Amino acid sequence: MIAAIVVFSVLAAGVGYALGKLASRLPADASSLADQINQLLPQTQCGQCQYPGCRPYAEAIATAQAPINQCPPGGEQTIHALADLLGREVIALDTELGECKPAQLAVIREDECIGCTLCIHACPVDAILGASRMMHTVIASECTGCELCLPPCPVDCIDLQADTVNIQRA
Amino acid sequence: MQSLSAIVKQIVSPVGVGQIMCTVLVALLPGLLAHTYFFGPGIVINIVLCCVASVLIETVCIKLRKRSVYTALTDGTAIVTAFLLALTLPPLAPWWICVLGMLVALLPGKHLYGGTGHNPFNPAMLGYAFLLICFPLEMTQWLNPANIPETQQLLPGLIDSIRITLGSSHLDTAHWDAITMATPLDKIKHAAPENLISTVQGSQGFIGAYAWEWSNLGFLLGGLWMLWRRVISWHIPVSVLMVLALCYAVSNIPLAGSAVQVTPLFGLFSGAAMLGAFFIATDPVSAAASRRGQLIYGAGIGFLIFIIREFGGYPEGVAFAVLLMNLTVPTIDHYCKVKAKSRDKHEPG
Amino acid sequence: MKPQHLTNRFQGGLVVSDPTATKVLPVIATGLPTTVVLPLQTSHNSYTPNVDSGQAVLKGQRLDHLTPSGASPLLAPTSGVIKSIARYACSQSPGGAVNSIIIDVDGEDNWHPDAQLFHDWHQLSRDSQLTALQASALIGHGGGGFALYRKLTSATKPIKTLIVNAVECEPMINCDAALLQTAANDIIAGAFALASLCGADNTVIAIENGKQQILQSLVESLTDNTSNNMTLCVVPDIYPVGAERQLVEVVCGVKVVAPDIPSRHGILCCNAATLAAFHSFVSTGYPSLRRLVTVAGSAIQKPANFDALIGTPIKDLVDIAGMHSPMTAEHSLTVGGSICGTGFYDFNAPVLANTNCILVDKPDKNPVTEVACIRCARCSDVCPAELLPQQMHRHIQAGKPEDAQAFGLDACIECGCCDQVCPSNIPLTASFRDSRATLRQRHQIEIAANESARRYDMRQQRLEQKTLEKNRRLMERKRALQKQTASTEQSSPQRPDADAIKAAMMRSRQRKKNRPGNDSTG
Repeated sequence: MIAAIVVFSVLAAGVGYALGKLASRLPADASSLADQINQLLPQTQCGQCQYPGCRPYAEAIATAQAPINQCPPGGEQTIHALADLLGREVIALDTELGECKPAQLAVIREDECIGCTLCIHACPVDAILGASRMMHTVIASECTGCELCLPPCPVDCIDLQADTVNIQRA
Repeated sequence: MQSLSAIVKQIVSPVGVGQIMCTVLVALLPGLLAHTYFFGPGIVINIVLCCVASVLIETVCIKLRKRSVYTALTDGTAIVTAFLLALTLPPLAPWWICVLGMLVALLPGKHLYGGTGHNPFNPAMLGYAFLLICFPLEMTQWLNPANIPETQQLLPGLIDSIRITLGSSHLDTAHWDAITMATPLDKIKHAAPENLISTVQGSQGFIGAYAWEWSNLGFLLGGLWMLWRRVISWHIPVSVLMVLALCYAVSNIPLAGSAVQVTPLFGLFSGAAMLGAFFIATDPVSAAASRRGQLIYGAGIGFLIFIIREFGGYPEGVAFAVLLMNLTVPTIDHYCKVKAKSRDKHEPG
Repeated sequence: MKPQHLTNRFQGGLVVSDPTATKVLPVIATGLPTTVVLPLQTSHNSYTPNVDSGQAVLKGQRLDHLTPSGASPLLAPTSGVIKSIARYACSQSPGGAVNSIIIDVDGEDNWHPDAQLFHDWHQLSRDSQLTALQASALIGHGGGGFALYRKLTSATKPIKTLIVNAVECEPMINCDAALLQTAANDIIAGAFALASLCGADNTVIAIENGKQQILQSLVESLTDNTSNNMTLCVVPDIYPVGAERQLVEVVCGVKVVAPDIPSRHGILCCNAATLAAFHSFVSTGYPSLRRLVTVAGSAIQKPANFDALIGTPIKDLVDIAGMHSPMTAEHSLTVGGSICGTGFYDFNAPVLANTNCILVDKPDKNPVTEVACIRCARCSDVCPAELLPQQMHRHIQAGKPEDAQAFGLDACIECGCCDQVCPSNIPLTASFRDSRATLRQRHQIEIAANESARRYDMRQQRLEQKTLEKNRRLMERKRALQKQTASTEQSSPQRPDADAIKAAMMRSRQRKKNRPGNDSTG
């Protein structure tokens, strides 16, 4: 019986040590996991996931408060990447939040712009240039096509176009 | 947008998969002739049976997978599998052994993985291993080679062989003595220590086991021809044979504590060593990809053949050695990515 | 001068029998085309035009906005009027068109007043020589299409050896041979000029084995220009010995593996045609805007080397060479040699600085069928970059080009050797080229995403700081107010009318209480 106790103690100690070692190789805490998740998100910052940006959504996934299928711009590809990282099942995109669309760009019809700065405040990546009572314009290379500038515009002078300037965001 | 690959000009390659497989079949001929000479026409019947089964199974599979039957059959891979399996079967094995072996080789061995080029295991060896495990009796009934000094035995003729294979006539020990003789390696392993030396001497031919040495020489010849035709590279056969010979040499040192009395030469020219080294281990699909990986892969096979021959319960270790090493191929490939590095051989100027 | 026969070789490669190797096709000078097309997006450069349609341009005029240093400018190859700036066929982007400047040629061929960059090259300082070279937009005439200026400035070690690559890149290409025969002196003079510019101690002219005729003419030209530090090397004719890294390995014994480049090892390798163009630039001060293009193939009546203006539509050259039968969609068009040339569809695509050969072949009667890879490793045996194409192919087929990168996909020189030997007829090079494009695109997306994330984080930080600042100011004001009241309270006993003030405050509070809905304090 003593032999059995010894064997199992040694076994338990060994396995425990190995597991401990392995655990230290995994992401230590939720914040570094959130970083890794954030890396996989498309950084459109559109808020379609019901969070105010990609990072907050990443934090919510890391703390298991949100499912991985809430990112319409990322589409299936992002879901697969997240499932891979987190070892979860691949689930279908929550289409109630939006559809995966090809890359687009916001363009301001400049002669119609009244210079209200509302879109500037709405833009999550500071891609709109302008000042009060001055015409605004979108910096095409910075625009993520998140559509957040559309609702606040009082004169509806912002259009979305297919992204031909930047590379195709697949 | 149209994919680039569709418009890039294709260049006709001078050698196709079909030609490569034909070369392999031709290379098998010398060994096959020796085999037929010593073990009778049973082997030819095996080949015919396996080929017919293989073509039928392949056709059905390809039809089910909705691919081009013509392309699949003309690449010749199924026929090569059939030849290799047939050569490992005992000459007078019942017909259903051949058919069953081919079924296992092609269905789970090849098509379930996605057909030619996608099988992780050598299909012929998979079929053989299945048969050996399920039907050990049928699979170890080897005939005594013709004209062996100790029995002066005669071989059954073609008609007799066909009848035995089809089951309409039974192996009749009145006609053919010692019909269930095992391979010489098997015999040596199971010989009592006091008879060991006489057993070894009894089955000794010029360089290897009697009769087996000739078929091994034949396969060696075919293998060398394939090397010359550049159908295979030297890496796998050389490492298999070198390591196998080395293992035998080490085990012959009295200090090693083993009583094995098989010389390296005997080991190389008995059983299926040459067939395995040149034709089975070199199956490119299931072997390691890089040249360095192939050396490791071959060495592993050589070592495992020795281990299984000496310590295992089976007469020959090639099949299991190859299958076990097939398992390690992804790992070997992972660690053997050829990465050339910049270097100055000498200062420029 | 005795040529030096080298026997070094590189790993892999193919011995290719080229029926045209010994024959040198005639050189035909072409006049001005009616239209000239200049793509704004090539494999190494992208330009923003500074001109608009309808504008008249002169030969040698700069057509693009100044870009960061290192980029080479876009020059008008002849004078004319800009017809439009629109999407147009381009051989470097098969299947797709790219934005291009299309010029209606006026036939005057007038130089722009600023086109001549200097009068005497030798009077320029080294820096101004380099600046002039950059302004001349001289792009390598080999296959890669690197600007010569960038090649010179990317060196991290002083250049010791200049290799003149007179090896024909691949079978069927003939323009270098023709140039060597007609303008060997120009090439040698260009080599001297470049060697003195980059400070190379010795110059090696490399030519492949088996070109006796050209070798002879080179030897003669070299005897005229006696020089101690110029040697002539004959290298074994193993494809792709004309590729930069392979030639460097054969000539200098230095193995250079991508992403490493020869200039980091003190070696500069230059195509012979580039040097001839460099010579014409150095001696006149005008940028060189023409090049030799081989037009050949089974469908061409009179194969020849055309001295064509850069930007000439390929159709013009094919028309001069003539075809056996009218062009159909089944004809196969290739830009580059017969091994690693890329197919394209549109005849209207222009000749670029690195377009060395155009092949037009008759419809293929027996198209090959691609079958599964059997991992026979022939491809890895012939790969001059010492890669494992079969493994890369496996990962690409599995939809994971990033895994193929671990096997050295980036080091692939797209020579096409693997395609040649593949028994399964798999178009490996094309799939590698495809995957590299995919990966490059993915990388760009990643960069863009990182940039968006950075901007988002910065904005978040800014907003946070703004709120903090606002709160801080509120607090400050509150504290100031409190202090004020406290001080008034403290000082109250000393005031004679303190009681009166207190009474007044009490009254006002009373009043406020009686006024409902107004709880704001003063």
